[in-house]
Amino acid sequence: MAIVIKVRLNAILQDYSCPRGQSAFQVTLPDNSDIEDAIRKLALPRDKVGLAAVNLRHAAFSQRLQEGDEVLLFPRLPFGG
Amino acid sequence: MLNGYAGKLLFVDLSSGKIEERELEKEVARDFVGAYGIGAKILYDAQPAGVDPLGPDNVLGFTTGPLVATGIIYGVRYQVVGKSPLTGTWGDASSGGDFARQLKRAGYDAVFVRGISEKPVYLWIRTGPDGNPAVEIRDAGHLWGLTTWETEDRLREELSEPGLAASIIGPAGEKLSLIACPIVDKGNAAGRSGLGAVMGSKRLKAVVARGTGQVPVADRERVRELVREGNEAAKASPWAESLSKYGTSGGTARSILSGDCPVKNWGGVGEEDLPQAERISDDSVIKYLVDYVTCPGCPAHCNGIVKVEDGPYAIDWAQKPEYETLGAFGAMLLNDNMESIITLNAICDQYGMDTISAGATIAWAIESYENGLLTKEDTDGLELTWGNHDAIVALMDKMAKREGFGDLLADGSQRAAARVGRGTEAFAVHVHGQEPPMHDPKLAMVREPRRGPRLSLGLAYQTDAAPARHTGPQSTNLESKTSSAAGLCGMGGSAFRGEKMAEVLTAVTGNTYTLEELERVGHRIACMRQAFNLREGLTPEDFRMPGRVIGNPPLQSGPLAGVSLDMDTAVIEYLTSRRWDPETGKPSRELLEELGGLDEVIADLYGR
Repeated sequence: MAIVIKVRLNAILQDYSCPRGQSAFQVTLPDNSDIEDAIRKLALPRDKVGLAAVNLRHAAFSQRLQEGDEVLLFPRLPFGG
Repeated sequence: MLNGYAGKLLFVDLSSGKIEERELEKEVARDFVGAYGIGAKILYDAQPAGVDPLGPDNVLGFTTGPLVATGIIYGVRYQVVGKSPLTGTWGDASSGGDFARQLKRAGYDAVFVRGISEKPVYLWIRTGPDGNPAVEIRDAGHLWGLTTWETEDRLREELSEPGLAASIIGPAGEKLSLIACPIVDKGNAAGRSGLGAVMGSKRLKAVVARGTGQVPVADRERVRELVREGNEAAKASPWAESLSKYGTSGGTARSILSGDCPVKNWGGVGEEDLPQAERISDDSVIKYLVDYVTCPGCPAHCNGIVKVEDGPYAIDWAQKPEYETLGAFGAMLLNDNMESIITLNAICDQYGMDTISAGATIAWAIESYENGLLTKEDTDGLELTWGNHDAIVALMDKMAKREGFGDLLADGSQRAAARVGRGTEAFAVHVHGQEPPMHDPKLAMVREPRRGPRLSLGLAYQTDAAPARHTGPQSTNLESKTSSAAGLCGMGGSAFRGEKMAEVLTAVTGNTYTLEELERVGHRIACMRQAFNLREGLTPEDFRMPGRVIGNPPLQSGPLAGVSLDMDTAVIEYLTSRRWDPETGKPSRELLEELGGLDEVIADLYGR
């Protein structure tokens, strides 16, 4: 089984996406995937990602994803959590 | 000759018109480095306890540091220092722009102003025809009442000096708004501590500087190498990348959703009350950008010029709002209308007001209104509901002009609540009169619980001599106090930190600084500012944080649900770690003797 989710990249993270500058993606992942899996699938540099939200709720990177979830990824910055 | 310094301090008495120049003593430069370090030393010596902050005896300083005008990237800041009329404590505020460089190149490391002029004046400080500094007290009657933007344009025109820079108050400072501040380059605000009102009380419209002199450095080649290394380090930092593209606005949505940025007057939860935070963050901000602006020699160009083409908030030219402003006029008010925030920021820049205190004071008014403690009869008919940007802009305009209901709010939330009463005091979130900046100290407890309450306390800005002044861990970090005193921008941490900062200061001044010495200088500065407050009769109890900020009661949901800071323990731990008495805040005699350079403090606290 697979799930389809949306991923959006906030601010400077868009400069690390492929193609560069693209901010929104539809991603297909195996069942039981978490946010870390989504980051790997998009080949984002892990050290640049600082925070995640699922459906606009703050989320741990280990949070399991459900079909139709929207993941919002924020860059790592020296403030802001 | 003092490497890294202009080598002179300027003292101006506006009551008598006396202008006096003094050498900067090399021991003072070495021990206190610059900016608020030297400022604290001078003010402690120059004025007694208990002066009226808006009276003639309050000495107001405009200070620079040794990195300024030496080619060191990020070395651009000036600091305004004085007794704060907002808090009654030590006050300081800093900003970027070109003022620090111009003042220093004109020949002064700092200018200290006392007295009250009979009529409005400005100070004109420049490199004279003979290469020496030339100083004039000039009439500002024609500038009084003008905005900071209008004043700057008039000054450039009448002085025929397009390259000048000026620290200017607008009508808010003239009318003694206690949240007024001076503005440089039409948008760099030395926002905190209400020091714009001190300028207004002295009838000092502006300090204007234009300098062409050179500042000597001890090891020019090493400075060049360090700048190259600093540029490389900054390039490799994701923070610098974000800063160059977005300024600090790039972290706004992230901070609102993570719990870092206070929401709804510190009573809300970002992900519930403002899930649309991206509307006032990063790309939603820079879509209005028409140009980047940079402080002299800074590689980051974090500032920018924005334009709103049409609609009710159309404006041809304004400075880009930064994180604190987006938090105060956005998240704190549940206002997701970006164009209104550009206008609110522009009003504050033109009238010379601190956006943090202004936004937080409007948050007090809205919460009071929403709870029925204020009505339209109080608010001049404004419907002060959360997120009602039309009413928020109208109120900000009234505050800036001290008109009607706005007059009541122009001195910050504590004064406004005291005047209204009716239980609205519960919604005034302030520390000794000043509204806290836009970072929630509880987040540190969630992110780094092992570092315990001391870290949170540092982030909680309770321990800084200027209450609610700081937004980051610098309030516990002694080394970074020295960086600030040196004139380094807080955004320059990616280029120079720790040992590297010590190398920079050594190359510029020729004095040998180590990381340990940076900490000693920072500790000395902290002790001097603390002594200023002790002499005013203040104790740690006076700096107590509002319940909402420390989670008392805790939030019920969101990333900070259930988090409370144990402030009693934190205060004791923190003060003890500083070697200050946990009850009185008094630095131990042994500490003061070990640090050196603090003889007058020892004499005042312990006798000779």
